[in-house]
Amino acid sequence: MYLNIVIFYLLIALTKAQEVYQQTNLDKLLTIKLYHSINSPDSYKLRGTIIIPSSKEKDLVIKQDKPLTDEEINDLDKAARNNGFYFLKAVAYKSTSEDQTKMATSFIEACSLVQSGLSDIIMISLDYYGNLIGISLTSTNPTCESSYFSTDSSNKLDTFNTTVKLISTTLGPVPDTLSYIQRMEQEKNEKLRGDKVDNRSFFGKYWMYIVPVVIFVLISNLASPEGMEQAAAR
Amino acid sequence: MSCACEILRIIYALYEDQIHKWDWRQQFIGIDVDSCMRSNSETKDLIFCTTGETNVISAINRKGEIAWRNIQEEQGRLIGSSLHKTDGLITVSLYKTKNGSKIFIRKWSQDDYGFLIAENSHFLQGSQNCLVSIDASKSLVNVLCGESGSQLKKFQFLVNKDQPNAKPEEQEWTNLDGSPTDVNLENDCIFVGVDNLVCLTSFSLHYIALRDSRWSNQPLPEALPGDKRYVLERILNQNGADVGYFGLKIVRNTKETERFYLYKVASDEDKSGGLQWLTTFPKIQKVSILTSANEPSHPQFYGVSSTKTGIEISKFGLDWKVEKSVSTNFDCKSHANSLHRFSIVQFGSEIEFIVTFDDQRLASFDSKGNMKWSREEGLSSIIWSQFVSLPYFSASSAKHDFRSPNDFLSLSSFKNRIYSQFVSIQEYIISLYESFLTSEKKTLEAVDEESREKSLVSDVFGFHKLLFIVTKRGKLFVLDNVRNGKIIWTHFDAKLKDDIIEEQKRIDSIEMERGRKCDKIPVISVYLQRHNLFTPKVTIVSPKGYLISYNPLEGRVEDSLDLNTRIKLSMLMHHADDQGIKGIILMNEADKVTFYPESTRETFLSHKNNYYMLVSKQTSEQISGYSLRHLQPTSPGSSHEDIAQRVWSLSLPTLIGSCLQVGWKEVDEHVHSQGKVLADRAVLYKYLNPNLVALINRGEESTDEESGKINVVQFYLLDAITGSIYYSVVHRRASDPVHLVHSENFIIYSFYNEKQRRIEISSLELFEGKEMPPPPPVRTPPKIVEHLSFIFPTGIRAMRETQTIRGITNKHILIALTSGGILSLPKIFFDPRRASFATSKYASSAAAMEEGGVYLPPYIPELPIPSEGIINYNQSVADVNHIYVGVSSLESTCLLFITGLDIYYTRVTPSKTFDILKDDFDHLLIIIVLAALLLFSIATKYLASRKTLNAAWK
Amino acid sequence: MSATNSSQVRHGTNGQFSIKKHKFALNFNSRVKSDKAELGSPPGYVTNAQFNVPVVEPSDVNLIVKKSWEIASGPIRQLPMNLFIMYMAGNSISIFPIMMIGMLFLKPVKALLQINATFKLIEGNQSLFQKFVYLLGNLLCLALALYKCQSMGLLPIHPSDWLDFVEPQPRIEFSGGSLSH
Repeated sequence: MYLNIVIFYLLIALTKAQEVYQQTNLDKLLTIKLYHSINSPDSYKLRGTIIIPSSKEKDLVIKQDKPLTDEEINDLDKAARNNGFYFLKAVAYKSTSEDQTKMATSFIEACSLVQSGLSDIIMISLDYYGNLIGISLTSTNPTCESSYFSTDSSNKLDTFNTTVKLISTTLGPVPDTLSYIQRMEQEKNEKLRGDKVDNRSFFGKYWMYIVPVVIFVLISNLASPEGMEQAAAR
Repeated sequence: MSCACEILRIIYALYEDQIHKWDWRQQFIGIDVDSCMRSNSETKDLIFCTTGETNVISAINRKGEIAWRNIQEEQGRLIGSSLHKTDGLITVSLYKTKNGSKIFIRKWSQDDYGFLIAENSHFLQGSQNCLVSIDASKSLVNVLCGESGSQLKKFQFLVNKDQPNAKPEEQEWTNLDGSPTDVNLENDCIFVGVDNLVCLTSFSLHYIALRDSRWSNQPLPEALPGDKRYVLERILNQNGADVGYFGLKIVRNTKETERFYLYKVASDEDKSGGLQWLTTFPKIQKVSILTSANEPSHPQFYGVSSTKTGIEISKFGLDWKVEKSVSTNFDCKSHANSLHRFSIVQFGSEIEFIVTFDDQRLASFDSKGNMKWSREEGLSSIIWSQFVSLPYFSASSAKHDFRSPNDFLSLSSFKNRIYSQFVSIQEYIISLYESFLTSEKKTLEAVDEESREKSLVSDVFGFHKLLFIVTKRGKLFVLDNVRNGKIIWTHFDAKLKDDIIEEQKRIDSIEMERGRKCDKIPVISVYLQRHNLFTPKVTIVSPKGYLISYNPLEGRVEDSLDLNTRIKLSMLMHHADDQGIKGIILMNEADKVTFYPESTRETFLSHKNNYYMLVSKQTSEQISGYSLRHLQPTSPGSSHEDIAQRVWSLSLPTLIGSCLQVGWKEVDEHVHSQGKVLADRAVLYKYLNPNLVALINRGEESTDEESGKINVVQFYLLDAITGSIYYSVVHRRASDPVHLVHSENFIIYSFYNEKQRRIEISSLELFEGKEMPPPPPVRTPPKIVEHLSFIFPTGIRAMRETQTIRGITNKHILIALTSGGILSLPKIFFDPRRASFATSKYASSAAAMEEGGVYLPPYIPELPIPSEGIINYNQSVADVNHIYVGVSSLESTCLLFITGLDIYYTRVTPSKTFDILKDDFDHLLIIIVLAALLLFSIATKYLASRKTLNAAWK
Repeated sequence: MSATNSSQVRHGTNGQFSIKKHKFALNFNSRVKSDKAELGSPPGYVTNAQFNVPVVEPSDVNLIVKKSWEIASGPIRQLPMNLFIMYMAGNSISIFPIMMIGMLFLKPVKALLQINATFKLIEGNQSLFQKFVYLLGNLLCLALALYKCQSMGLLPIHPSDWLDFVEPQPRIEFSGGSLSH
């Protein structure tokens, strides 16, 4: 029986190890080119590049050198006032094969982007093998305030201040039979241990009941002479 | 642990007198009846009916009730059946997949029990179209398979219980001369006699006697204009046997038969060969033969045709003249009068006609044309159902203008309300008086018929509702949920039926091409447009742009409309207009948006820019989001336009043969508690984003070079507005069947783990954390995602969560098991929050996880199936497809309607009936006790005052 | 009519009526006979009696202070006993601990409501301090009761206690869609 359990544990450990191996092995360099378009999802222009060397967020490289042109800033401002959208397109290249691309598009309300001063947050979802699934765009200022536009502040809309978040696919949880079996073993052991005679002393076991009684007796003893006196005085 | 189970236990026991107290079941034999035959059983007069699509063999007694029923493989199709006088009933079923087909040949006993006597099965390479001809007298089954007319293979099976799985005799023909091109064996050909194949092409009639191995052809009787076409018809005798006759009929697009040409295939002795035209019947739709053992060469011909008010059955004499005809009338709006199958059964000298209509109503007529019984087999193929509330008083008394629910505050509405309440009280008193007077006089049936409209009144607790049903054959039903599912209204729409069948065929062909079947999702969309008590309105949208609006309370079609454009997506608006109607947004393939009814566009305009749509295809990885925009006219000439603008798109990882499943939340779901109370009395706020969608994609992964192709199940949480994926997980070596439940802040899904060969259930719960979430329009991802998996010991056919009117009652998860049981498990068993406890020291102690007075049971990897959790006790429900839930006016009670081959209705109380007195509550006792207490207190008061007075005198 | 009152009547009317048969008796007829224009003095009331006001002596001042102290320190002296009772009652919510807590609350609240009446009793040169001590004692009792409530979990100080009042988030954006083929 013990042998069975040992073999079972070993098997589980092996599969776990294999999964870990697969997860690390398949990380490859992913390059994502970002294109953007203001107010219409047709005229995309290159905005920057994100290089994802691994699934860790800190290894990301974001390259966005090109500042927005005056015309684009104007367009963006106009879109923001007219409830327009700002569109973003991501085209992903795996480093191994250039032609293997995946594409995803996303959008944000232009006013939200303008009011945040072009500081946007891009969420990139990757599949289990590190390929692109989709992107989504939010900004640090998700609400649009109409009062914002009374003051002219379009001059600071120049460069993007981008934060990138990665959401990668993990393996789904499996029913945790191992720890359950362990727990059952543990409980069984505890039960065995629990059957042993509790050989603590009487006071050791019941002190919590004795002490209050003693205190109560003491207090009433202290109080009673006074009470007697009072009664006598009355 | 056991104590925790004790607390959670919901139903303690069921007493015999509680059976069918509030639940009912109806059993069916399935749709697409192949043939009906009279059994040769000595003891009982049974009629055997075999159904093609549902693959069921059954026996019906002469009252139309099921005597026995044998359900065969669900994916298979019954392609032939025939009866032998003494031996038994032989049936042939075909199970087709892309890579292989399997033929099942079975023989059943003809007695009252339907035992399986002999069985034979054969595997064929590739997807095959097969035709079958059964010679019951010799127990021979000929199966002819092939992909085209030139490549044919015949298998001859001898069905014998002594030789199970005997190899069939095979015969193969390749490169047959003059074979017709472009024919589908299943759709365009029929097998006549033992070895004659007749095929129909658009120009001629092709014929081959397989012993000659040579095709010959014959021109069609007449050329047809575009709106008419020819259809081949099999003609069988009363035993389901083929005696060498077949029919060729001309059908117009309206399904009306114009002419029926009767042909005979020359028998072996008759050397002249070929096809022999015998006669032409006008208007006849189906022909059946009655042969007698004495005169086998002179069969009697019976034909049936549909008339404007019903059907007409005619008997033809030897000179092909109508010898005798009977006609029968019924309501042709409620029922179809076009025919699906026609068979004759003989009880001694008596003849009965079993007619299956296109709406899958099976009816038996005697020789005088009186209907003996009828069965609504369409109810075994429900594709949509919805609970519809009833008004608290009958609709007739609500005729005065009480139809605008939105102006609650106006004085007239208030007056109306008071008046209608008064009327209802008045009616109640009158009905009490009447029932007092006429208590014994009327039978229950008569009262039922008379007061159909009057009976459509809700009870105090809102248990009495209507079940609105749409079936696969385009028939609409309205059932009464308390009176054993009595049919109140029916409506048949041939256009809807054609749309559904055509769409289903399209899906089937797509699936066959891809080699993988996906879950059947309804091909039509149904929306409850107005949830008003008096004028509810349900609208059905077919993918081909056909819309029907129906009032289930009055059984009336309000509107039907053909848009003549393919609908890519339809969606119900969340806002109702001042008539209480929620508009339907329809998007066509060109992303143009229209509204139904047109007037609801105004409502949309007041909420424009806030509507988004998620577009996904079941067989595609591409998912995209659209924003509904109202474009200002760009140039002065152009008009205002509503378009759906694609705002985001993403592509899930490519899988071979993928099937996508999308899980939305119930639109009007009430979530009572915004958070979960923890043991330290802090609050864990639930993540209740109404636009969160659960996506499950499954299929074969192709990118993994090392381990070859493996099946995976991918799970995603997606925000339907922004298209951002908040969470994604993949289960490797996992496959169908996948079931998904999405409600409140939890998602539960099940799949098959191929590696461990077991069903697993994964449960997710989403939380915002301990701080209140920011108000919309801020879109945040869930901060905490708890995810835990469980083993489920048996197969799952459907899964659903309970819904209650306010959402206070605990949720239960309803699971339809493959065994026919409906399991109701408390949601707490699926609680994934134990995932984070699993490693902590609390893992073993249940008490440590006290939450608002509720103990979380410790994690057990295998979910239990407590027998008291099977809510349908011994009333097994066969082949469940869906569980529909409805709410009652009582918070504690949730109504269930389970559909499949059988239908079953019951109600569940997940937290027990905390808001209603028990049935056996003793009102008299409590009144007596209360009165006694009152008297006692008065008496004591008096006595006490006297006592004080007396004491005062001392 | 209370017994003391009737006895007063008896003593007050001693000179006018003679009671022979009964121990108690009231004569309501006297009222009818008497003059209606003017109400007579209540029985036992002497119209111009001189009350003998005792002279406060220095020895009595100490007595008064002592008595006042007794009143003032009453609540505080009850405190240890209450503490002990509450300790014994435990933190489980059942009928007896709840009743005890009710008493615990009722006493100081009652005392605080009648504080003016009590303050009139407190005299002497230390009265201000004594009043303060009395007040403090009652407040401490109240605090003890609150503490007990808190430890029993009866005080709505956790976010979970206000969970039912949390409004569901309003829905601004609407989405929909069905799976097509």
